[in-house]
Amino acid sequence: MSDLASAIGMRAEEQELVRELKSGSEPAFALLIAQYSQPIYSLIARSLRDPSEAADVTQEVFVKVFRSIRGFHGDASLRTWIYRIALHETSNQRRWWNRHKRQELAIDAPIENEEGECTCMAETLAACDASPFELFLRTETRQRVEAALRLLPAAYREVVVLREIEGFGYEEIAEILNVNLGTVKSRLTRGRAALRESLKKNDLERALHTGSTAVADTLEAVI
Amino acid sequence: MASQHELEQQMQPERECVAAQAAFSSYLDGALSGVEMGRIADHLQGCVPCAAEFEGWRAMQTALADMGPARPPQRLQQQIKTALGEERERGSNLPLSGRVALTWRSSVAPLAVQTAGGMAAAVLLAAGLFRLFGPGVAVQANDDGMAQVIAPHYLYSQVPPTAVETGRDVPVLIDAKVDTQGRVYDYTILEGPADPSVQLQVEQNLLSSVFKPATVFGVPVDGHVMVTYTGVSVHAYPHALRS
Repeated sequence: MSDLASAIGMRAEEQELVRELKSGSEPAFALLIAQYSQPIYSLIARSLRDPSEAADVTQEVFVKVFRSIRGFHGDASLRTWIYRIALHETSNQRRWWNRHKRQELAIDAPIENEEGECTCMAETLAACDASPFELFLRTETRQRVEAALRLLPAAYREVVVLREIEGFGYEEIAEILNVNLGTVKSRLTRGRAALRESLKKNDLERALHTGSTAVADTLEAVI
Repeated sequence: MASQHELEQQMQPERECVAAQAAFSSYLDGALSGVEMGRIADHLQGCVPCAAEFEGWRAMQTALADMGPARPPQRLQQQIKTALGEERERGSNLPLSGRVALTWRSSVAPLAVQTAGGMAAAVLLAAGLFRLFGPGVAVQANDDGMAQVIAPHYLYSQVPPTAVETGRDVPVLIDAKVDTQGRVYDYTILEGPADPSVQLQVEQNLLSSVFKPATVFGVPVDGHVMVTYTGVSVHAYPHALRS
């Protein structure tokens, strides 16, 4: 089947799904949840400063979809529309977090010790099969990138997450965020540059703390 | 002192590095024209610092991709389905008219049925209590349509009744008062001539008439009766016939 035929087939399939969703069909919503709950959760978890809120925000996204599916007219794809709602809800949650919870400490939130090491409180509470050193090696890179990602301004973080983790194209990101293509490219460039600078700074600080240029060189090579 | 040309030559590589690094993001995504891609690739081959920096960008991109999707809690899907079930019960996906209808069906209608049932039960109970403990119904004369109140009526005349002679042929309508014995004790001429000769004839007729007196629940009482006498005019007869 050609790409065009495939696209037309998908479109028809989506239209059928939307029709079912508008009628309030329970199986249709079950399908939607099965298809989108994981990626939407992932997007939200990566976009929020406090990922422990991601499940509740994801639930709220689907509630919004349920309430407003009758107003969906197919101007964008269903996926784009849902992601748009997800980022809107994430943005609302961020504003709420900034107003109310900034000073609270979440168990899964990354915390920095006196040596500048970034760990999660949950990891210090829960026993783990792997040795501390193995755990460190496995999670060190991911934690540093995630921590650096969370420090990015929201506008940059959204674009970086959509592009680098969720794999969206420029055009679809522009549709989701309702901005033009140039803005997407600009935010992506600035976001990546800021993330790169943050990781470099983190490496330098770690090297200074340990006093070992060898470690610094090694990490610099990894990142 | 360096000449203008030497200064430009020193700054040229620096400008190229800035331009190349500014395009790293698009270069990573392959979102540049072929010419631009080639220019940056050439620059990276000849510029060690920029090549190292670009390696850092690429490693960062790989690290981001390796992060993979965040794993949701195990019961996330069930949690969402439960939330949508509650929304469905509230009809939050329906238009206003649908929500009103749903609210009516789910809360007001059952309440209305209960209220109506309650009201009916209360009325029945009140009626029963009133019947049990309320005042008795007062006896009224018109309970049976005046069936027990009977007006007097004519029985017979002790002497044959005679026609009442009047000046013209008109009936005489009389309101007669009948006592408990069935006798007339007073009368009034309502219509017709009321001259003394007519009154005399009427009195003679009434005095000889016997009526069944009026009764209330079988008890004789005074009553009224309407009596009509046919008026007969007096004709002149030939003298020969009179003798």
